[in-house]
Amino acid sequence: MVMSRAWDRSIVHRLMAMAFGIVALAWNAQAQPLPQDAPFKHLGVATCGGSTCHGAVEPFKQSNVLQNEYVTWTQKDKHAAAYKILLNERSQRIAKNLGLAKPAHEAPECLNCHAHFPKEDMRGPQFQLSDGVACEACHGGAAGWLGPHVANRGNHAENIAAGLYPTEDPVKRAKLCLSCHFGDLSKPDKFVTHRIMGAGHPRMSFELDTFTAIQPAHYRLDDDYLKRKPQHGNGVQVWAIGQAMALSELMAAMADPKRNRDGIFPELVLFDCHACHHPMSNLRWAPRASVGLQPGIPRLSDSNLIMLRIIAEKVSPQHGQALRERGLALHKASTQGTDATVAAAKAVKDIADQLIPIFAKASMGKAEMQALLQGVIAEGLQKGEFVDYAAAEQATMALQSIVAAMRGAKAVEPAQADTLQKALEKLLNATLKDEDYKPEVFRAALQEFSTVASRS
Amino acid sequence: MAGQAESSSGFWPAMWLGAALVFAPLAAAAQALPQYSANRHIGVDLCKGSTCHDAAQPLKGSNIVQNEYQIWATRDRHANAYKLLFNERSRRIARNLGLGAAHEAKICVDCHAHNPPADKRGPQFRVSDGVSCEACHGAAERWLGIHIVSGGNREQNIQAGLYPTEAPVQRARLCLSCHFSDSNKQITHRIMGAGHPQIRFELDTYTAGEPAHYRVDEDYVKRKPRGTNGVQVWAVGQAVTVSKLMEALADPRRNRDGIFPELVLFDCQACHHPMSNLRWAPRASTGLKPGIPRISDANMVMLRVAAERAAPALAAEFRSRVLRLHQASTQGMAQTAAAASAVKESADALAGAFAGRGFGRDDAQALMQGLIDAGLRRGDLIDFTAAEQATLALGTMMLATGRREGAARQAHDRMLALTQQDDHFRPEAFNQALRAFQAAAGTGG
Repeated sequence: MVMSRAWDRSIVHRLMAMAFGIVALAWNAQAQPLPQDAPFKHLGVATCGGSTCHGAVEPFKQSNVLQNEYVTWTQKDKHAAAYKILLNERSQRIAKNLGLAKPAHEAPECLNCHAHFPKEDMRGPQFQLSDGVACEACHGGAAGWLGPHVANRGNHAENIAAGLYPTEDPVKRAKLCLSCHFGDLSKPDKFVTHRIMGAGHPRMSFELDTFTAIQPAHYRLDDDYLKRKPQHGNGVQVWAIGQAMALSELMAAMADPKRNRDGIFPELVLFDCHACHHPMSNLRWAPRASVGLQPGIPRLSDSNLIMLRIIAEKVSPQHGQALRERGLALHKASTQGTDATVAAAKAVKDIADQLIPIFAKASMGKAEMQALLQGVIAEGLQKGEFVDYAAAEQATMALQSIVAAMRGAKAVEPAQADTLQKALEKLLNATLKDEDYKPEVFRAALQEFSTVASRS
Repeated sequence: MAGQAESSSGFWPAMWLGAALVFAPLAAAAQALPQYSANRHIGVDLCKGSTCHDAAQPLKGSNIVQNEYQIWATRDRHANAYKLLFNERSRRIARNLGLGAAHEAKICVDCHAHNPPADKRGPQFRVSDGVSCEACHGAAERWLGIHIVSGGNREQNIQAGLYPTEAPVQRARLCLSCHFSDSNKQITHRIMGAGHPQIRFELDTYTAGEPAHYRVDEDYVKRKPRGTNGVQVWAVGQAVTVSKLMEALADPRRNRDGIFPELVLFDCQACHHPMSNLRWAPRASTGLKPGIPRISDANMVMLRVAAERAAPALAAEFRSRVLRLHQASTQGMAQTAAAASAVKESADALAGAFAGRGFGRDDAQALMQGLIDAGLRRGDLIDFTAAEQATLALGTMMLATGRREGAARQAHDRMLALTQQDDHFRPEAFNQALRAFQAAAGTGG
């Protein structure tokens, strides 16, 4: 009797889960709310970090996940330290300079990114702001999915329906990461403006695949993972989607009249930092074909545009061509007026948005990886597009991501991958400190990398 | 050194005080700058000649030095301004702007030489002479003859087109037409971006540093009582500089470039510093929050000091209009242009007030203290351009008060070194030097 009732209950649960799953899949296809906004309560890291769950000291041998994720995160991941940073002198100075009502570690403008900051009524009794950018900040408020996923009966789709955020999906991951690493335009106080920069905030730069890897990743891309989460894609796909989404967000900000101006200036954070922030004794201007601007005109932040164009030119040439044309038009529009710039930004965003599903479905195999590697190299060596620091920084991260992906896909022999990695060191050194950046030094390092790459 | 004789109380200065107050604005309105004169420019050959202005040595028995051309040709940077356009840096700037050769581009030659229209040049006029005699003294076609004939008086010369360079307001307008811009020739941020050096100017220092090719002796003071007082020249220079800046800021043809305002009207180092230089500090005289590019305000900082001593009735209004200007820059261009016009009005009134009064030793001492207080009490000298202007101003005050040696001189030398180049400027070090200067030469404190 009891058994059959339990069986019945189990069937009901499964049917409900399937129903949820169908709704969830439909829901997924549309905008899935980010963890901070979703209608699921946040319980805090205590329930994740137990030693038989995700707080093991060493990876479990017989498990299909590492199970030491919490330890990795708390010891090595900068997200874990994000809240504590708000207590230091630099952060306190920024808050004071801005005249914020509260100190940095209590100010929503800072907490929105430097901690997991759901609304107060969505926080469970063991939730702690001081945990920083913790588990649920990315994986979603666990109130709904903690049970099913512990009971091991919930499958991935059911977990997602219950509020687990699909971080393996590059598009969703990019949206999540960029909501802090660029800003969330849907909120009034989750965006680093130039005022915040002027108050002392460090420069922000981001690349989805590199930053995923250096968190460091607290998961292993083994056969089981790829079977359960096939949307994961490879590193090159993640890089490409990251560029498209970053550019799309930037263009959205540029087109948003609430965001794109501050008094008589445009919102300066949307422009390339070093275009202005260099000593005048550094006589650095050189024409750039993809920009087409005269000297002395502050240049819109264009490192993502350059990268996206390189990718599109290989993966979807007509989109690459459109990006080239619309990119030039965007720069030109900035010399005309705000309305023209807004229209031009929307036109660029259109292409970026079209590329996202194309990249998500593209195969990005060995041939594509090789082509993209050569594309990045050519953009620097033949077209001179890496004379500015931000572009060189993105190019370096791009090359790192592609080489790592090639190694993983066995598109190069391990020995060659090692040689490429060594050549990458020089590029990394050349982009270590933005103030010391010298385009000639970077170019020389890129030339060496190119020589090594051409041997494979 | 020219420009340092003090205007003591006496008949002529008092006469000119009255006359200047009445006539200065009128004379200014009537007198076009040399480049735009209706008369023709005949060239330096007619100024030379060993019995005219090219004597090898100053002539005794003459009421002027008469080796003016020699001084200018051998020591004045204006003589070399055209040749500069042939060097590597100038060529790069022109290339970056897509201009062809710098020495053939109007925008370069307009300031780096004397560049009247082709139909206003006599047969011996040469652009390659650089910023030459008539660039400042006016097209000589009609006054050359008059001034040679002994007995030609000054009024007649001026009527015939001699430019009154001794008058501080007119001199300031002339110098600033190149050392800042005017509505006919504007240096823009595009030119800066192409590689042009920062433009730095202070009227009294630059008059002395040309070097001056005249001697302010008894005869000079009698014939040209205006403009012999370095402190007055400094003060007028600040007022006219602010006026010209505001003129540009209020002019819709000059104050924008695409989605940006014209950046040359903003403080250079507000943007041009490495991001690692965490430098922002609040300033009561701007009321601006961090990250907001600041309108070029070094001269406004100076003008406030001058106004509070030399035209106190006008000072409070000037200050509040400046605050309003900075505030307007966080709103929109229309508000900014309107606020700039209001500041210009104040600056013009201040120029007139300064031009019409004497500046004695006690004024110089009070201004010296005002400059010190601007730094030490108000924190207004934390930015490079303001510190630079204050340093040059203190130099003028030191000469006017006779404090040229000792600890004050040492502290001032330190300030000069710190404001030599913006990359080396450190506000704490500058304030330290200012404190030493206060100890050596200050009065209030």
